[in-house]
Amino acid sequence: MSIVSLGIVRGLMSGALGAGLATGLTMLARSALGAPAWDAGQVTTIAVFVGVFFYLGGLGAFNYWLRWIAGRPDPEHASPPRPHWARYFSFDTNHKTIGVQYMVTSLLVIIIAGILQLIDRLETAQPGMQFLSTNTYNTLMSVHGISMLAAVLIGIAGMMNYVLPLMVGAKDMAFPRLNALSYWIVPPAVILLLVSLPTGGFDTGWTGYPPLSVKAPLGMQFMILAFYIVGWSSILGGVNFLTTIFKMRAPGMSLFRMPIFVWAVVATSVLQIIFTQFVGIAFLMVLLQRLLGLTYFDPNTGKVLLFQHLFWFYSHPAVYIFVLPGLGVISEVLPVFSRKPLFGYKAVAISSLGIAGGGALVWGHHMFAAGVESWLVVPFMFTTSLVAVPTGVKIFSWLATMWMGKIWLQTPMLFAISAIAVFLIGGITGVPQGIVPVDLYLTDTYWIVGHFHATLFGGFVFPAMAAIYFWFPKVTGRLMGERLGKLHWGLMTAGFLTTYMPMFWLGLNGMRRRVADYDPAMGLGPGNVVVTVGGFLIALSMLLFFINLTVSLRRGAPAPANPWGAHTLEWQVSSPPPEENFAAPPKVVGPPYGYGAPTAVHAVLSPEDDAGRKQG
Amino acid sequence: MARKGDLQRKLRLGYVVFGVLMVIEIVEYVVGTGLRSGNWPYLGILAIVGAWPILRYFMHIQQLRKPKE
Amino acid sequence: MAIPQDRHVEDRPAINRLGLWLFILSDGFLFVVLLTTRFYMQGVQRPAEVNQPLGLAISIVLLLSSLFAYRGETAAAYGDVKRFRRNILVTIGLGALFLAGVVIEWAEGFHFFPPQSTAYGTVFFTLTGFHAFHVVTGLLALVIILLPGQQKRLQSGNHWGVEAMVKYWHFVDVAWVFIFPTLYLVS
Repeated sequence: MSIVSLGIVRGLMSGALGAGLATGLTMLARSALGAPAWDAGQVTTIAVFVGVFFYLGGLGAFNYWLRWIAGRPDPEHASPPRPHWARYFSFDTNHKTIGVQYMVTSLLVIIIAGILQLIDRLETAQPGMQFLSTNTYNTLMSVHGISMLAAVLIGIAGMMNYVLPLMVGAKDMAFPRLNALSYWIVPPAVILLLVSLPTGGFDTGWTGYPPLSVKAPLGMQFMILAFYIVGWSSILGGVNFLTTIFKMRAPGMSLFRMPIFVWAVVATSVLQIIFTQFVGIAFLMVLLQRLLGLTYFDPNTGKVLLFQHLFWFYSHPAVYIFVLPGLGVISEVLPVFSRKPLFGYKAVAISSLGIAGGGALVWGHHMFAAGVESWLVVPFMFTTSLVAVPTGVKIFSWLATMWMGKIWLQTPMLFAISAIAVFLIGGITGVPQGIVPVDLYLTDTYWIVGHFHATLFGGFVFPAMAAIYFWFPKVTGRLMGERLGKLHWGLMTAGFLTTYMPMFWLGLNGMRRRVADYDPAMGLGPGNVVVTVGGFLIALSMLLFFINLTVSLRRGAPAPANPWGAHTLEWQVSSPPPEENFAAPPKVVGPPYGYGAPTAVHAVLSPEDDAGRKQG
Repeated sequence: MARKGDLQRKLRLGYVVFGVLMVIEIVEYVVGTGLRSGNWPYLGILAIVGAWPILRYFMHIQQLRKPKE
Repeated sequence: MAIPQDRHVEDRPAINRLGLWLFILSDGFLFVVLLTTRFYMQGVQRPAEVNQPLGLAISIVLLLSSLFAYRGETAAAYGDVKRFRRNILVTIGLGALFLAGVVIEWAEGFHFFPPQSTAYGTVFFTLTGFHAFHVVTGLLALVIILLPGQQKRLQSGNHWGVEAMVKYWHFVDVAWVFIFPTLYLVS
């Protein structure tokens, strides 16, 4: 086969063509209207939108819809299964392909964003400016932040895509083509994020507050467009997940027989489809003010704080979008490796929704120091403290699940335990910030940096690693290297503690966040050296992880259908699962976590599925 | 295929809904232009009252709970 | 190996419907954000030059188009293709008339409350602009279901396409029901 027949290659060529055409036409139109032909902002924005559209066309994303419009019939799964690597580079509608695509993209973005911050950490290890300019420092730091958030959104979409339809006993997602579309708009967004580096970057941090973001260089605009595109991927994904969960569950799977991960996806998806619009519009407003001169955030005619309200109205719930699937993974892994049912299943299930609902009402706590109306401050202090309650429910349930269990310390379990500890650190260090007087002291210091990295490591990174080690045998049909995995776990946990624990101390002692330089007289140098060393430890552990991943992929021992003895549905089919998951819907007959009782069964497979499992 | 009489009945229902919407719209306009200040609570209620028939009778939101009809 | 017969029972119409409603919910929040922005930036202030009669006129035009869209969809559900085409054509005409009204509004707006220098202009042009974008996409959707390829599908009793596009059109109408008083009437 030739390389040009790959969907992604055709898509990128077509996208470049579209962007070029749009650039030319826009410049022609501008000069026809009597304006100077070149306006970097307007021309590139139009080129981006047209280019993405052309890219999707070249990829083949619209083929089905065009056939539908023409009135020609089209089978649900049009693409012939091509069981080798080429399907991962084409518009493939199978949710398992898409899940892997998302996960690999996420890991790639994590590598890039991680390297950017390592460069910055080298700079801040010592006071004084060593080798970066302040602008470069700010840009690297900002791109690191926004790229990592994109990576998390992509990563949770990966986990949810692969596992969710299997868990609920469906043959695929509700809208497979929409699902493929939601993935394929992500690569252009990643490219745009990278384009923001050579086009001047942006120095606003990931939050992009105006008025700075209105005045920032062209790179800002690419970041806005990238985030907007990832946002739409997130919204369409949420629609798809909710429909799948509510309409495609296997017979017998009542709401309270769904695995906790499915509950977490419900909560995450609701947040995604509602709140993403807020940040999308907020960033579009910045874009419109930059391009057309509208006055949303102009201090004279507009309101600067409008952006912060809209931004945090999404971005606080977004934290729960990021962590809820990870917390769901912990709830999946713990019962399997403790051989005990999940403690307080119903409470944990509801607590996901509680976190989602409560998290929607706390956005103001990001703005205590921003000069919001004073009557808003105290209510936000209370709601913020309240969110700790459903989170606490989860923590206690996890501890009670492990209590007196037959704990089996395989790599997924180790990562899950680390995740609980780290998430607890993140949660507890968050409460002081919810208290107004303390927050006024802590805001914009390294305390905050330590806090939110702990929540994201505990809520996403460690659970995602647990998920990869847990489901890798299912995805690839091979076991992952256990010794290297444990080494990865040890280094990563140690690296995390070395990096982020000193940050709390640094923050309390006056180390500001987002600064390239600090006063040597403050005595913060040694602490910063430790942080930098820790950062490289984490990078080293990731290197081990990638080695483990590639080696296991090629030479890992063949995995049985159910290496961990788990009860949920994805483990009842062969590894890797058949193209359409189940030949016939399985019958769900019991709760998902009946571990410890020898006769407990979650689901019964149809005879041909059962036969298929014994072969594979 | 359902009967022709059903179709006629449903088409007539459309007129009734439209009539109600028109009344709400006119009342809204009168309130909006007549009351010079502090009219927003009334307008808010009227907008919600006006959106409901569209959601219920034109968009059939009830189908989400009852798949048929 | 023979392809096993697909025994997954799917209620496709119900699945599609839920998906569409969730999308509409999400899209609805776009307008919630913009409406909130209007009140946050401007309170209930409104310049005197806003053309209220024109606003009322285009509101009525849009509501009328919704009525015809409803008639078209109902006819399609009963397999009355001729009536369906007639009514959807009227809907498209009324939608275009609505857009013409918006263009007049914009021309006046640029004169009286330019978006680059007044807060009201900014929110007015954003709200009507996003709404007009939805009207344009809605019109495209309505044109698509009138294409000849669609008629075969309709005659075979599958009118999901019509239902979906018409629902979207009604949603555009619902959004306007909130935008009209927000921009033209509150004070």
